[in-house]
Amino acid sequence: MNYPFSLIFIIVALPLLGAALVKRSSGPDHARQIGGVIAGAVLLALAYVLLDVVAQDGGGRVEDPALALGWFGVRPLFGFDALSAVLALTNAITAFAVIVGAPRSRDERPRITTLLATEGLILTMLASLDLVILALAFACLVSPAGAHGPSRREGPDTTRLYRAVFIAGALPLAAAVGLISFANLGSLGPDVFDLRVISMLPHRGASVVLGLLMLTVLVRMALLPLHSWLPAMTQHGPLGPTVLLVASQSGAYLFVRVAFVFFPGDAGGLTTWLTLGGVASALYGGVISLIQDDLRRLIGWLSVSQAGLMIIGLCSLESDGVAGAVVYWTSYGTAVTGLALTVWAVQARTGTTTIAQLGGLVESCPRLTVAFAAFAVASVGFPGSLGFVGEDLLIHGVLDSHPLLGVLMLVATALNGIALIRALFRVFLGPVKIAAPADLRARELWVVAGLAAVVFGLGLWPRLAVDVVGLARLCIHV
Amino acid sequence: MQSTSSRSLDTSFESVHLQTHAVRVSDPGPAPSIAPAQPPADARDRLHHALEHAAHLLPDQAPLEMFVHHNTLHALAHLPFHHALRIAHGVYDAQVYRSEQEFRSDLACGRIDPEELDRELDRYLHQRGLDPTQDMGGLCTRRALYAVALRVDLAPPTRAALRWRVREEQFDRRLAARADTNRMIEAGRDYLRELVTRATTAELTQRFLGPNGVPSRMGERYAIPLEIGALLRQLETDPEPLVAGSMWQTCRVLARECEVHASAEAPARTWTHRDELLNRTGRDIWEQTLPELLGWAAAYLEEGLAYWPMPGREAGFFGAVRELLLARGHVRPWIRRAVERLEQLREATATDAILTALAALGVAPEQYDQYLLELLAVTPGFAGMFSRLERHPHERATLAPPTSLTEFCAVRLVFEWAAVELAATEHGLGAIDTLVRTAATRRDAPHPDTHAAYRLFILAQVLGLAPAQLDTLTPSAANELLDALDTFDELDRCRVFLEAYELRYRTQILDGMRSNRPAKPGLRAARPSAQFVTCIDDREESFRRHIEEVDPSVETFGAAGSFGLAIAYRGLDAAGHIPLAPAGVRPRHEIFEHPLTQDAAIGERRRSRRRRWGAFLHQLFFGSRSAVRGALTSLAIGPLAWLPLGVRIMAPRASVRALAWVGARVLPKPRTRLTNDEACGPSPRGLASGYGFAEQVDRVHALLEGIGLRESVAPLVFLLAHGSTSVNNPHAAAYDCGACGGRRGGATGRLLVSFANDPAVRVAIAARGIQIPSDTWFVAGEHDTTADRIELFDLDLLPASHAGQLERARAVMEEARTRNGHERSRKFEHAALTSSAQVGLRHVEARASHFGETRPEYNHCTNAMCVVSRRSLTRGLFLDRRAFLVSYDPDSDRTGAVLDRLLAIAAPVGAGINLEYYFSRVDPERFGCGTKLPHNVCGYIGVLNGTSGDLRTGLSTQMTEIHEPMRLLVIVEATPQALLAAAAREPIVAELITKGWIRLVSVDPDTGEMQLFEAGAFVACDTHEPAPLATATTSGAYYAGRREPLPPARVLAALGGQS
Amino acid sequence: MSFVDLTAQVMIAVPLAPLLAFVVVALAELGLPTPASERVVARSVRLGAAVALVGSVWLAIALARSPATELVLDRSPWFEVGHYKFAARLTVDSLSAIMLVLASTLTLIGVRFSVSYMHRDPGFRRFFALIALFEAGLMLLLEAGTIDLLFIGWEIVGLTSTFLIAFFHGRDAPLAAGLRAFVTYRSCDVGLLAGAVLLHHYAHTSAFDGAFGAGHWPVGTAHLEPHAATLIALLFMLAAMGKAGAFPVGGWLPRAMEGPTPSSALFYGGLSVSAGAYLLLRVAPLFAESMVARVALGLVGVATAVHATIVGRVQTDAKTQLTYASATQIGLVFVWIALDLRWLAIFHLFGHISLRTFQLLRAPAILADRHHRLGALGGAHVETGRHLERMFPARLRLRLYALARAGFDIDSLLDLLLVAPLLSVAHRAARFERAVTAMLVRPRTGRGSISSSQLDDEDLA
Repeated sequence: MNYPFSLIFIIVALPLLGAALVKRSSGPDHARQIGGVIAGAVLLALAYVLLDVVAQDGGGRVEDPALALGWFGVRPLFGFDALSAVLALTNAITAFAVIVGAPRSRDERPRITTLLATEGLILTMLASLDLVILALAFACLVSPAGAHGPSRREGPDTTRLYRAVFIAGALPLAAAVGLISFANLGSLGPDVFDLRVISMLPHRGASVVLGLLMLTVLVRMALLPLHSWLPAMTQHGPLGPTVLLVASQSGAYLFVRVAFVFFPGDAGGLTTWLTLGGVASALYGGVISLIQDDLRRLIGWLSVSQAGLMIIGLCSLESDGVAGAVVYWTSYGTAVTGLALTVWAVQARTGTTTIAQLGGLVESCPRLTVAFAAFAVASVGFPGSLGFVGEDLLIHGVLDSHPLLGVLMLVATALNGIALIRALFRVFLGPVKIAAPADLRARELWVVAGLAAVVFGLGLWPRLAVDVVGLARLCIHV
Repeated sequence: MQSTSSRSLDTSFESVHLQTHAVRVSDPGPAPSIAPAQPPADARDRLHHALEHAAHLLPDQAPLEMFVHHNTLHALAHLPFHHALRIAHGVYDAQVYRSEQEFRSDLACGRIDPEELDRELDRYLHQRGLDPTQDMGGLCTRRALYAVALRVDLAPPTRAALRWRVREEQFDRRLAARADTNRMIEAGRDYLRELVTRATTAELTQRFLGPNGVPSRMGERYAIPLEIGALLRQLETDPEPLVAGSMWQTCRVLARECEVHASAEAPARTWTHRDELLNRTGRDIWEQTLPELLGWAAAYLEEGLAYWPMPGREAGFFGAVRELLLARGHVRPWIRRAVERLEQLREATATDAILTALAALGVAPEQYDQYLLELLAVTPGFAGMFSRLERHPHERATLAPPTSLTEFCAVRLVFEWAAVELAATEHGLGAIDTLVRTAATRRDAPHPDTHAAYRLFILAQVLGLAPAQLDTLTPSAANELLDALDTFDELDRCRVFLEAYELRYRTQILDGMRSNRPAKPGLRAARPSAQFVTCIDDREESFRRHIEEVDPSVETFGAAGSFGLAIAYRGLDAAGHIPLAPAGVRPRHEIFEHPLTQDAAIGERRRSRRRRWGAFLHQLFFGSRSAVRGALTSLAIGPLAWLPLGVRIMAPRASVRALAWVGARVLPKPRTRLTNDEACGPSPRGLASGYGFAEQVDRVHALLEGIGLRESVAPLVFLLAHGSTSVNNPHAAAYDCGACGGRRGGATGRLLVSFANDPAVRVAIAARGIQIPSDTWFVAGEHDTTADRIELFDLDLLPASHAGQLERARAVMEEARTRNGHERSRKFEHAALTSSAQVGLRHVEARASHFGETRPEYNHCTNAMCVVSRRSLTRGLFLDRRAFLVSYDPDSDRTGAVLDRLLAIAAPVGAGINLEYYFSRVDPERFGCGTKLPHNVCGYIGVLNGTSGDLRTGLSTQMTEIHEPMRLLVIVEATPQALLAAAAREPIVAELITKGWIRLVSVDPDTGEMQLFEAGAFVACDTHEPAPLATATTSGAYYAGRREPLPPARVLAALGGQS
Repeated sequence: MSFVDLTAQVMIAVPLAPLLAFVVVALAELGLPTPASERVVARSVRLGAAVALVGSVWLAIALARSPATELVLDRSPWFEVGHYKFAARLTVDSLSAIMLVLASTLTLIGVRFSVSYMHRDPGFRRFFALIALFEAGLMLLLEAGTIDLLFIGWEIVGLTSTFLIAFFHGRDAPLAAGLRAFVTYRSCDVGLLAGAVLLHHYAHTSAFDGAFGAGHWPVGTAHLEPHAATLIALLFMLAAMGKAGAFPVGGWLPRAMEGPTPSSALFYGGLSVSAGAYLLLRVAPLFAESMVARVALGLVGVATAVHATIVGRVQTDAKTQLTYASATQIGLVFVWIALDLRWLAIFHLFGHISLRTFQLLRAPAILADRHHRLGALGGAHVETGRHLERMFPARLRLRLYALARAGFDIDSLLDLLLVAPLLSVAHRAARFERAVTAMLVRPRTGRGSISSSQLDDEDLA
């Protein structure tokens, strides 16, 4: 279905426009208002788009009107199918929550600018129907945070980190895109960059491209052995954009959107390797998170572990496994946002996220404690949360074909659960080591409650989510 | 400011010098010497000294069944009250006052009077020799500053908290809403308007953005650029952010020019190996050693709870543990190390083991005191229990081996040694004998913003200062201000609060008594219809009041519940003898309860049936816990066990009645008597088996003389002892009669009555001047303070002539107990306030029988005073169950001998109860045993939290939660001279009075003049006009619908209509 | 409404009523500006528990009157993807009916007990919320018609247990105990979930009546290949061991007494630890198929019973004694299941739960009980543990006592062999990762990092 006007482009451009507006706003209050309004508008618009997509039987696609692109032909640049619409909505929720629900910083303008820019890039990536735009947005995802994070003055120097992540993600991708276009230009002509088309045609030079893509995916998903940047970034980078990055799972998206299409039907070596990387990450992240001494770093390790689980599901190529992975994708994204917001709230109140320095926070912040506990159990898939549905599907998908893998995944989730409950006990319970000045404020409470409502509401009535995800799953099994 | 709060405390009590006229107990001025006077020479002596020293500071609580209230800080009782509290705060790291927050909310709700608080503040300043009018930086006087410090929380926040408040709450851009905030803002606006027009950019930056401020950040803080025009516009539209911001930044600038130091110094403490290891490796060796140690300690001390008792206990704790550890191989590395060490110490005594371990650990003899205390204070419960049982071996079960703190310490040290050695090897820390030292806890340097600027800014807001005034403050003046605040630390503030808190209560009580005191207090009516003598217990206050309200022709008296006897008593159904005597008194007489000869058959049947029942219970108890018998029990009894459980919990009162009904059928109860062999033959246990005639006369005479019952003895005189009934309550002993050593009284009164009803005894007493009419009959009874039941003994002996009078008295008691139950139920939130008296009674009865009830009654909770007087002073006065009432007639006590006797019992017992409640309430975790809910009985001697850790001592929060922690207000109807003379003869009483552990008020028996003992002398405290006393027809009408503690009121019914 | 419809409603209501009570209490706690009064909280939870009890009794009667051997409610699927369906199927047969009635009776008693016992505790509302959630989980566990639903109830029971053990969170010991229980649960639950999925894989259904073929409990038999039955049975056994505190993973059980008395009584005296036995009874047909699994279960049962009874005999406090007594009996129940004596097992379990709850609820009365007992015996001293002296020579007795005091060092061995190596790997890995991070992230000299406690002066400005 085509929209009569460039609705999707407008949605995608809104956050970027917002970022520009915020940058030039007069004060922090003004900046917050703009950020909240823009993020909210994007959220509503994407909900509308998702309804539109779902309304088309079998999960069709909505597209912007076609554009004349000169030599590249006439085709729409932006569109959503069920998968990208679901993911876009999840990301919009995450972005809205982080923009509105985060504690106030000294100056809000750089923070909100970064967040809106990151959201814009993520949406661009998701909505893009063009390989180059997708690749550009993908590569630049870390740039806003790296460019002017609010941590510039306060935090340690993370320049190298961002540079490394950018290069490790962008270079192989650029090479892959170059190779694709070079190898296929002859056979495809100007359509080589049209994502709707390239999946249907045979490719040449697939193995090298696949290798490069896999490298990119490994880096972005923070799979072993290219994982170390993620814990470092959650600990030292600005938390908001990092959470958006984690929740977007851009690596996985690149995998299903670009890499999958290069081996229609046949998993090839790629899934095997990725599965191995996934298992290793899941276990390694699980084990190491057992002894983490910093809450933010713990979130990083948890994300490494969970990304591992998700990629195993995607690579299982079983209907329940893939659906489980997508459910997990959305549920973990939402839950980890809640988790990060609570950790952030702890940091804003106590000035630290070092577990050893914290203790007994429940005395001063009971609601914050409940929020952390709720998101902790949600992010490791306890019954009642959407994560449980995802985990159940995932494991069914994997255990059927690879029983050993399934057991290892169970071990990894067990480890993650232990790590989070341990953190909950150490930080929020126990003798009071540090007192917070106040519990969650109304603004934070509403955001946190909204996220919890999404995670637990869909966890209790999963059919809605699972049906939509069922459609999204079909987009992967092209 | 004295800051002596080290752990070196003198173990020897200072001898108390009581100067009859002006005892100047200097308030903690120069600290009394608390260092050991003569350091012992040799290591063994030093060790001995160190252990004694430690034993002194450890909790002194007996096993659960012998629970007796005592002053938790008995070790510091020789120091002035507030001073002792300050030391205890350092030594035990405990709360010693209620929190400031609680005091402030009391101030807000009127429980503390603001004027009285200021008066107490003045008194404090006077005592400390500080000038109240001293000017503080031109902003206020010292008195005003301290008054603010009392009312406003000025505790420095953490930096993160301050940052958070700045960002989220606009702490620096809003002024706290007060009456004069608008005036401040306007003054500030005018001042700033003028200033802004003349200022340079640099000045503006400093004024609005503070030190290190940069102009570019103006937007993010005030959303305007740093331009004069914009500033002026902002001042017109919304000046508050700019005014507040400029004041905050001024404070920050000032703060950077002040010397900031942390407001409270952390006390120095001994740095042990464990601290060093914890610091270096993050691992706590005590987490390994303590569970092991405490497990063995529990096994050694337990008195028959375990199915297999610990073998080899005869060898002493150290020897037994050594043999057991050596008997098997071990897995845990540190225990393997410990076993190696124990192998070396195979032949050593406990003392040798300690000395060896101390030498290996590198603890020098002069460090023994602190080091051992540091170690033992970590497990105060078990260490204290070893020490207590060592000093009071008779509290140990008959078959149990002896205990000693030395043995405990030996095991403790060998474990410590092994664990330290192993940890040091594992982490490559080298020699372990250089790790002990004394160190103050390091604190981060205080930050100027949080410690100085924050407080200055809050002060400026509270004092209503404008920016102009703040600008005139010089750094040195600010320094002075902050120093003055630091000097008045939290302990001092709480001290002033406590004094004001007590003063409010004291004023109410004394005003009430002044209004209530009859013109001729010695005048007694004609012969009363009956007389009741109850225990002095505060729980009997309401009971006595209700008896008098029901029948104004009755008289009541209060005497310590042992009625002057001290017996080893064995009841009909008891397992053995129990001492019924005040704490510290060893009984010398042994008394049995035995069936009457004509009921011997019933008695025998009861005995044999109970024996079989007991054997069954025994089998059930251990059997259900074992494997095979346990399976059989589960299969045979188990499937129905939910039924009795459900019934007992859903219908506690009915099920207890049903059980009693069945019990009475199955186990018939014979009529019984107490033995009393007048020949005083020795019993099998070597005690006298009865009181001789002369002793009987003495005891009866002493009782009657003590309560002032010299004439008009009524036809019926009841001696009501008391006890308490509760189920599922490990601390049950604490609810029984304190004067009977934490047991049910009953038997003492019953025995005394049998003396008093003996005509021969009466003749002998008449010779001593007390006439007991021949138609007088004494009846003994026991008041159950939980269910409010009264059981009377030996009624079969009552002369038929008294039957009618007994019926009448019984009706009075029945009505009184109903009303008493109702009055008690008002304190329980589960009881409806509107219910009738009968419902109230049923409520308290259900409490006594409910498994799930953690508060069978509130016990001594809310106790606050002790009145030693004729009843005329308190009769008809509603004292809200808060008073120990001791009957005393000053007119008949010319020599003061009776006063001596009464004070010697009432003051320490009352103060012990009161202070234990005080400390358990102010720090339930350190001084009390915390909440009851996870408690678990260990070895029948104490309770643990859950299944691990140390024995908990003190009172639970369920016992103390509604207590108002105050020192006992002792009001004695005697002249100051008589009181001082009596105190001079009783050193313990003197110490309590002069050191301020109780507050003493003398009421002149003739004039009614009231004087308070304060700072070493009696001062008049009745100079003001008393507030009018509330009046009500009955107690019930007065307290109706209210749960909170109530001020005294006059209850007309008890006065027989005379108003 | 017909009787059948009504019965179906009741089946839903039994777990739902306590769940609603939980939701009400939790929302009131989080949403209201002033906390709900104790009365409101206690009434909601009592109402929930009472509905559960009435419903359970109703179901038991309905089952007895119904010609069928089980009541089934199928609202499948809860969700489905492709071929995979998550069945929402509740089943009440004689096993679940007995347990439902007992569990809801005891919970109601426990709730009533707690109304006065927990009065004025700061965690009163939290306690009641957790008890309600626990009951909801337990009821679901007992009514579950599929292993997946059972798992949901199982996890809820485990999580509420953890929080109730750590109820007094101001101290360290309850937290350590709670964490230990959680770690054990979580590790052993891997078995349950893996078993569930494998059961699905081999039997193509997770519903009990489907998986175990013809017949119903207790006579059902599983039609699985022997090796599959063995594998799945062993996995379920692992899960049951964790929950029941069986040898050798029962170290958490005595420590679990850190919570308030009523929850300790309900959970570790009876209901929660019996969930393990219940699971085994539920899948007893699997064990019937596999001799290996039966032998393994029998060994675990015997080891648990012997270990617990010996260790229990040297315990010096009331509650620990009772937990070991509890573990002893659960061990015996395992043995009955291994011997395929299903009715004996259920009868034993029933008696055990109700007796132990009784004993634990009145554990604080142990002093008064002793007083009463000794008084009845008239002061006669009754020796205990004499047969130990008869059976063993002195040296051996010492050794046995010392070993029993240390619980035969089972926990230490587990720590040494399992936990310590894992943690040492983790520490090594963490060190390596820190080094990598240090290469990527440089601390700024002169300024603190945002994740340390040092903050810039400017932050306050």
